[in-house]
Amino acid sequence: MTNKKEKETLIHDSGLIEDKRVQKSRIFVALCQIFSIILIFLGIMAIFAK
Amino acid sequence: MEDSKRRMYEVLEASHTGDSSSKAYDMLMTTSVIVSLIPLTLKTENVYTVYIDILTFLVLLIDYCARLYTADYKMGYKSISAYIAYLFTPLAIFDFLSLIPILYVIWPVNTSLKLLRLFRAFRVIKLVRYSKTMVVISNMLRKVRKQLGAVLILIVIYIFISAMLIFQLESALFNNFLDALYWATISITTIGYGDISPVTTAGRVITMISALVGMAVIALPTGIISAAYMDEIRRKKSKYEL
Repeated sequence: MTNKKEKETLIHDSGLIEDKRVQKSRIFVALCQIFSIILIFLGIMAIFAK
Repeated sequence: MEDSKRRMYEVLEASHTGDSSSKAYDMLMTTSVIVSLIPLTLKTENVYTVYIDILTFLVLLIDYCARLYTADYKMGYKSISAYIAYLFTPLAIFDFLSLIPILYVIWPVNTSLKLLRLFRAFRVIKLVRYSKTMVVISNMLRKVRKQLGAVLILIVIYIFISAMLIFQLESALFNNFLDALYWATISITTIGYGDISPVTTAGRVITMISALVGMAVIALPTGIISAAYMDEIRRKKSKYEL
């Protein structure tokens, strides 16, 4: 876990910053998961709706 | 720009170990396909099925456009012809057909346009990309497509001949030739619903011959597919052993 953290951080003049690619990747993964949950919820509501 | 495009291609393709973005995308696509089939299991539409149709259409449209954008990586060469060639690959055609059901949501008229909803079934084929087993099966089917095509033609010819014979011998039983084709298909596949049964001796003889020959003809594709599948497994096994 520590090694992964080290890979994601870059050394910059202003201090340590997290690699932007990793941030974008996290946002993308979160969006995909949110959409998946919304779709599953809609599917369940469609089955049980009267 | 090229880096972003390459990364997009890697995310779109089936995920490898450690690629969380690709894995999340695969999960989204699998969920979209399965949920989009739920309206096909319901007798009537409701507001939630409309939302499902719209959301899944958006997801599938984004997927189709992204795959088209990265078609040069998929096809393995950089050229306009790569994009055009990709459009005519089987999976791209099925991806396009799976977008069609949205037309019925936009224009819900009570005509044959309603049949467009059935194109949702094509979305299942998209799942082939995300399953290693399905990739093995699709590769195997691609290798034996000529033999399967020849057997299919044989089966179709046999159904037509049976239908023509029974249509002439038992014309009172059938309203039209389509009914005779239906009877021939049900007999040759040994399903035998019994809704149409021959009454004359000649008709019954044709039925008996049809059923016996049908058993042999229908078994041919099973044999071809089984042999090809065993070959594919053996080939993969020997590749790992080397």
